[in-house]
Amino acid sequence: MSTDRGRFRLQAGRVFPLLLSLVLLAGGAISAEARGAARSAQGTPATAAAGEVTLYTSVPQELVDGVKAVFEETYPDITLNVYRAGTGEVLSRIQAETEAGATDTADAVWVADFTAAANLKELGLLQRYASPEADAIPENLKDPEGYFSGSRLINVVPVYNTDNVPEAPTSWDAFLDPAHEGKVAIPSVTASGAAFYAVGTMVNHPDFGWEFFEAMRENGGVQVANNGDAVSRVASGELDLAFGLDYMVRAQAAEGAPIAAAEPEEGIVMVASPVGLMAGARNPEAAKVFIDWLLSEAGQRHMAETGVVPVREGLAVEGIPVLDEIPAMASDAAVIGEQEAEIKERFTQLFGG
Amino acid sequence: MRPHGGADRAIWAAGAVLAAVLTALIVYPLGALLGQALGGGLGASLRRIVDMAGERAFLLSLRRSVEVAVGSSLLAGVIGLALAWLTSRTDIPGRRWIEAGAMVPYLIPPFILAIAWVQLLGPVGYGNQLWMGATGSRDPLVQLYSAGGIIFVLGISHAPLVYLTLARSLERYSDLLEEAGRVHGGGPLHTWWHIFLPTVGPALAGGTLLALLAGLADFGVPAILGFSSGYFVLTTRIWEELNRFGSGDNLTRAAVLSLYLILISGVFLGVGQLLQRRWRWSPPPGGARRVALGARRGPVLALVVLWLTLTSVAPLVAVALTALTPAWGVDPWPANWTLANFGEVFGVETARRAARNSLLAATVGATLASVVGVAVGRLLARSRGRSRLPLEGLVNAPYAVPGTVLAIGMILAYARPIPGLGSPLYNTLGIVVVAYVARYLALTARNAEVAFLHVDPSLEEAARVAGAGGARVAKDILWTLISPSLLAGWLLAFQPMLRELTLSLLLWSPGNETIGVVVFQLQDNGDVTGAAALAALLLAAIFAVQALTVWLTGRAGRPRRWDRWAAAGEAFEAGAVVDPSSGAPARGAAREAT
Repeated sequence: MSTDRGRFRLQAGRVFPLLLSLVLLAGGAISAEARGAARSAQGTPATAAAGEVTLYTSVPQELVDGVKAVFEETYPDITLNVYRAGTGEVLSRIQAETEAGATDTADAVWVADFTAAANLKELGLLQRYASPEADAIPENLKDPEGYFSGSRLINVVPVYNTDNVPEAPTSWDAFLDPAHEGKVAIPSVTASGAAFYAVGTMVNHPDFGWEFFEAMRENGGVQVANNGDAVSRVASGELDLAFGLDYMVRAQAAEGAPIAAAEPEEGIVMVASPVGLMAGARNPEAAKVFIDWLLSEAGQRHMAETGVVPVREGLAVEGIPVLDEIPAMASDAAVIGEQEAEIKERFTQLFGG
Repeated sequence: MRPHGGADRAIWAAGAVLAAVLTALIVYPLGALLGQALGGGLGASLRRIVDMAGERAFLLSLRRSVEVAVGSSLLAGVIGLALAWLTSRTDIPGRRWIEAGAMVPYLIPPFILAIAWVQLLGPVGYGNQLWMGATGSRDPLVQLYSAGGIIFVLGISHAPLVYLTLARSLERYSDLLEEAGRVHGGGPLHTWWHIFLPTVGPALAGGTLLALLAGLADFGVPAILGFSSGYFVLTTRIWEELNRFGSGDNLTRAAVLSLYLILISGVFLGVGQLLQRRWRWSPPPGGARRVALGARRGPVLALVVLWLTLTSVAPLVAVALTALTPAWGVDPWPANWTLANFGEVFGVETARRAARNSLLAATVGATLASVVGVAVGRLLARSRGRSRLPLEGLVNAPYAVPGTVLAIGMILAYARPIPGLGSPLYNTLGIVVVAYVARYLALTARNAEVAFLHVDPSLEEAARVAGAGGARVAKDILWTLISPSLLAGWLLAFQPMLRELTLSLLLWSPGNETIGVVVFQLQDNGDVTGAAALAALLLAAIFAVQALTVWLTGRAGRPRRWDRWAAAGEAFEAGAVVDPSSGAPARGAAREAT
């Protein structure tokens, strides 16, 4: 009888390796399929501006979806692969990939604020690319060494719900007003580059400092996941006031949401969202085409039509503020960059603990 | 008589391949996690672990994890006990409907349940709007973004775990002791407290323990409800840690946090099993007469219907209504309804791609898990006693640890280059599939084992006596007998893979998003209506798969009960995780499934 069992086992022994090699084959097939795209990009000669460009970005999904559509229409030979997440997530992904030795995953990076791009530059992850289109962009919105360039202005403004707050706030101090207790919010600085830059600007500003954010927390201020979340919660009336991005407000207001951007007397925070070429880009030529287009009049105009403030001088689109008319608070990207760890730590302790 | 050499070699070869697969799936990722957490020498790793214990943020999230797990499991215990007692021990009418209703939260992924409850009871949710409209108050009635909100949603989500474990145990309930109690003059309350409760105690403890572990491991609910109030538990803290740039050692910190999470799960599991073992006793066999509710039947039924309407029906209705509303905050009346959200969601490539990815990953994942599961199940079915423990423990480990922990292990194992191979899985859907297979292998393996156990060895022997060769026996006897339950096992793995969030969210890469990831991100970005539209489609798919499963498993000549399969599946999971050694309830349950 034990021989019989043995014989059965023999058969089972033949079946298992078969099945298991099937497992491995199938597993291989999936990863092969998923990597097919990457491989084809590798195979493309680097001189031809065609193939795939992988963009790591923290700009909102709708914006990047629109940019992708128009760009691919303009350059049918180039496919733009987009990985979109919050600034913190994008940076930590790049960091993790670098640590793992995979430095060729992204071709271009497009994030929210200068400190994020400066970080990447310091780590040696960007390569210099002086786009001819960048000539039309003011010097203070570009990296002096040409590693990255501002591509759009995102302005951090006090966003308020027009039903809950009938009179437009005239100062950031509205966030400290007991009338709005428990109904004020700011996006998390670890997730949002723009919010980080805004906090960095304000804690270094004589009118505010950390006292402002401590008082805001006292007033029941909370952190929200990101700018989209902040604006949407103001629009729904869940919040009275929040730190948000001006173009999101314009977009939602255009759809009829009870929402508006206040014009505080202290000024708003202007953030120049930078785009740069990755050092390990597999397809740098096509990536340059993308960067050129993004900074070109056509790219800037497309974004302006979706409500974003362009960075090119002399580009006017109806309903969009012009660069030098924006009442911005003074800020120093270098100083904020140095304080990055401290700002994030302190903010997290205040709002995330 | 020993099998001849060829057979021996084949068995060894099969064993080696299986060992290699299990190493790649489980040992290497979990080993990489431990290596990262404990790397750099004993001194350094100890210092890391002790340093972490001194951090305020860490201690806070540790306490909150326990708080949430304990609170939600107690709530789940109370709900599960009440419903199980009513449907199993009383003459309440419409028991099948109540059973089905009680099971609904089990089918809704917890993060979608959280999204639904935000729509119902969030600051501007339908419930709070009604309240504010009625009272003119500017403040919401309840604050869902809080510890209480998380406990509430998790409690409802995990109540079916308790319900199932209890309902199964109550099927064998005997009322002899109750009878004796009554004869000796005990009132109904006395009987309930002194006889019913101690009798179902082990099952209640087992179910509550399951809810406790599930509450500790959950990521989606605290991520959605806890963020704005800064209420982080260990799983969300790990996520936060991973997304923090610049600290340099964030993977190590995430690994150490994972270690703590495993440790707490282990403590809960150990204490729970100890309690169960002490408590274990078998009531005398015998029939059970149901308790007549009498005049209280009406009010009790009304209460149950109200409860199930609130907890099982309302979340589904809320998701559907929100999906049909043009913007979050607009009144959800039919006059305002629109299909625009569906068009918008599927207008962008991401959602379409995610749907494709989820289907592909779940199909391939469930198939691979079934294949490996059959091999493991066959081995388990043939081994007895202590010799099965290492294999069983290995296969159950990725299911028993929180998803966040397994994901960190996968990142460490496969997101970096393997010498000589590069990083073939990184930035592919493959790493998601591997994680799915590792996690849900416990289900398919257990399912296959039970199927093999039910094949009477005398059938195989009879076939051989009749002259059939090994292949013939495998095909005619084994395959015929186990294939129906393999299908059940496949579906058992397919469904959770289709709706998976935690692993996917940590492992997705550009182009390889899953539905869970996109729903989560839409909600996270404040696109409440878009998230609802995609969630509604996912729920429709989940309920369709469930209906298909019931239809398929009901063909064996038993009545089709739509809650039945889920019941079998979960009790089965319960057995696999809580009581790997005995497996008694699991086997009973899986028999139902086959």
